[in-house]
Amino acid sequence: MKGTGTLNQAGFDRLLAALDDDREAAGRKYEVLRANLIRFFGWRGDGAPEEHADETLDRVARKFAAGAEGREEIHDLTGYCIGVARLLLHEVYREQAKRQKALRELPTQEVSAAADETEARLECLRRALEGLPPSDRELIVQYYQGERSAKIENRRRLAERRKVSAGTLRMQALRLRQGLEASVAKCLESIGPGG
Amino acid sequence: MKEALQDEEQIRRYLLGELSEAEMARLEDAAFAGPDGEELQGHIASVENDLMDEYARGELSPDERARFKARFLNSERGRARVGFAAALATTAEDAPYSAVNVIGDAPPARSRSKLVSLLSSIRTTPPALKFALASCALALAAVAVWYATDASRRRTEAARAETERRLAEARARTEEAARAPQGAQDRQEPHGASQSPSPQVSPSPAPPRNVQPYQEGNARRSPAPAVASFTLLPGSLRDEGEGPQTLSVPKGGGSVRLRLVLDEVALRGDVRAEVFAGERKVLSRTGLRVARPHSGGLIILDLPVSAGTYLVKIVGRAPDGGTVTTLYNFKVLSK
Repeated sequence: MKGTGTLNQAGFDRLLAALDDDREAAGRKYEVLRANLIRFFGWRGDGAPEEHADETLDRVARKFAAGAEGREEIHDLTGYCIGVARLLLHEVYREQAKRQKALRELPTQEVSAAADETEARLECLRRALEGLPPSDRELIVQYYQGERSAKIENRRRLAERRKVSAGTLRMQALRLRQGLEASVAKCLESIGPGG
Repeated sequence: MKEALQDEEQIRRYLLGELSEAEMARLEDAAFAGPDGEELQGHIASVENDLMDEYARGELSPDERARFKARFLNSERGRARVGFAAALATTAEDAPYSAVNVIGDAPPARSRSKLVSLLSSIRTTPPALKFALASCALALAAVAVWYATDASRRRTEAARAETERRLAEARARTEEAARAPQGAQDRQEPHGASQSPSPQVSPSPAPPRNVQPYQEGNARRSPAPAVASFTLLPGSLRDEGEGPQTLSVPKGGGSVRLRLVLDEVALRGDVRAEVFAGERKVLSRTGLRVARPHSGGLIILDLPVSAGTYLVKIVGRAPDGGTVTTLYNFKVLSK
């Protein structure tokens, strides 16, 4: 795979300008774009989503530096970046195949953390849950109770009880879970390795 | 509802890498450029979380499991997220179920209509009769509460006595095994090998204030005597000098509930477990039930333990008739 190189300033400036005339607004849109690219690579099972998202933006910025955006008439910047990301992903797959390491053969580590780490994680989660309002705590716990088929029925009933649609319930649970994950990660960092 | 389930199924296949390139591109274009892109992104993230939850519970099929491992366990971040999913699943199962939540199968619809018809008939009853019925109901409720309280107290005492008896037996068997010649088989009374995953005792020091351990809210089961529950994945032996998973128990030993996640192959026939403490076999059990056999499966084993290194061997038959042996190991430290 080609080296990432340093993000070209002129290209970066032109990329920001293409996102928005206001530099600050452009910066926020850049972060959203980067987050979308990280999601894309993550969903595709890429092992280094942040690195490849930056590489994608780097390549797009280099095209802008070369004035390519005028020649190619980019109407949808996000779609264009996703297209570049797909090409990059195919390059990644080809290189891995060349090294005779298909994604399935990459060493995958089972989540068999030491009991200390499991206990620490549970304790951090307990603390994070205690910090939630009771209604939110009840929602996130009940949302993840039950085995697969029972879970579907439980969520339907949970949405009915709360008088929200299934989609709204899903988004509420997603936001709560993301908050809890971040809290637990921070808590584990503060505990440090070895509990 | 049906459309939502079809969407979820498609998203699930997308995340497991089962869609064609064209199908993946269509979904991604909708997520990043479509009018409901943000909502779809949230839906994809939610299904991703559900996949992690199912992996942590051992609910994925062997093929899904292999695809999941290839796509989600190939980064530190992915592994951390799956660790979180396991913690959340444990916490959710330890919490009491809401009165209207389903644990297994949904209740039949006709039970609701019986309640509705009962309420209708009460509405048309004369006032004096209503008062008499209400008084009887109150008296019966008082008797029921007293009986339930007394029964619970008696069950708790019986469970405590049973726990102490089993721990004493286990210690005696361990000592006897130490004196017995090599290769002698110890057989334990079958206990604790659940037909389905039982609620676990969380190893966390104290339960969260408003999220009580499941056992306290469930009058059907006696309190679990386990010091901790422990989920083990196959091949828990580590490479490169890393030690096995460790668990701390009080001095004098304790009891652990092992949740053994079976890998890939759905075991059939007579499934056996052997547990070794160091060189000594301390448990041998046959006829084990595998929970969720269609998705690889899960075996629950209650085991009295003391300080030492343990090896668990699960032996069963694969669908093609071949013998499958799965190994797990862990270490117990005395506090």
